[in-house]
Amino acid sequence: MKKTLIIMSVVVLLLAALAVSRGGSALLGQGALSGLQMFVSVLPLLLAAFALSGLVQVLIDQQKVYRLLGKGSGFKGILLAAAIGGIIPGGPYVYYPIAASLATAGAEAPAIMAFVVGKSLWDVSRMPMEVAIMGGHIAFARYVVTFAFPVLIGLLTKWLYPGLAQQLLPAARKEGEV
Amino acid sequence: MAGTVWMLVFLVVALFLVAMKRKDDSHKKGIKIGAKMFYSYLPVLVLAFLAAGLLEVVLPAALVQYWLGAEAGWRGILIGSIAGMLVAAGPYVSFPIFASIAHSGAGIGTTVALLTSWSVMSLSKLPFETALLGPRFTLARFSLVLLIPVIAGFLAQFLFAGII
Repeated sequence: MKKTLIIMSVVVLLLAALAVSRGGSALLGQGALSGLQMFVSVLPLLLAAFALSGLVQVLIDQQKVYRLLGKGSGFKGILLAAAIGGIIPGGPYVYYPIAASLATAGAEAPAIMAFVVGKSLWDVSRMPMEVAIMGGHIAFARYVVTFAFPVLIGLLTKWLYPGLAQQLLPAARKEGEV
Repeated sequence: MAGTVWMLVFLVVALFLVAMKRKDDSHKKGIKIGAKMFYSYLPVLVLAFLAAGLLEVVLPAALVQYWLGAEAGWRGILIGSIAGMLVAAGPYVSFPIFASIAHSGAGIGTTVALLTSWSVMSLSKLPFETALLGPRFTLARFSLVLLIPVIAGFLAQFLFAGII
């Protein structure tokens, strides 16, 4: 968590410097204000998302999560996680807290990866907007050619980052311990 | 956005009631865990929103339009695969821009690469991902999804160009 905080601070400082170099302190103020406004306007959503994460953690049987999405859940776990990701509505400030609580409950890195990529590519709640604005044929083509990736990336995580499970989510794990 | 709020509120209320029915203070415990999580993530969340706001002004979404114009073919697919990442905005802002690029003559491969790049790599998600799942996860995911937009773009060009 501390490491994350440091990295995030560095990122914000770099972005702030970039903003100053592009448009002086006026642009910096505009960006910071827009970020804070965003924070205030999605605060109800954030609170709901964290309340949901907490309730999910109490309600779900940790053993069940572990069995369905944890070590040894394999292909089925990856598929299930990708599907859950595709169904969950809301922006990154909604689904990342949920991903963190799944990780805390014992879901493995490949499943969490499939969840995030499933949200990115299958996103059912975004589909109507994509069809309406981009047009049905483009949306159709986009869904067809990206359909296999959430599951594929989950499997690749298993093969290419086998150690990720233990090392990767200390932030989520620690915060979840109550 | 409003729809999302209501759906989440509905889910929270439903789970709260289910937890209450257990009669073992699960509902209080759940809210407590959520509140604790929120407080512990609050500092990184504030930083994440600051980063998102700064990204918005440093990378105006319309910049990509200027870059891409009517690019098509493999050049368009490659540029689109990177350009989508730089559109640091949600679907309400991004889709109209992508649609206008598609209308101005970009090929299906370019448009799909752009859409896919934005979906899996948009910089606006990274602050939240790093804040909640840690920098290692973000790095690993980024390394895995890097090629998806290019592959999707070429597949779309190969399968759908001329048909739709």
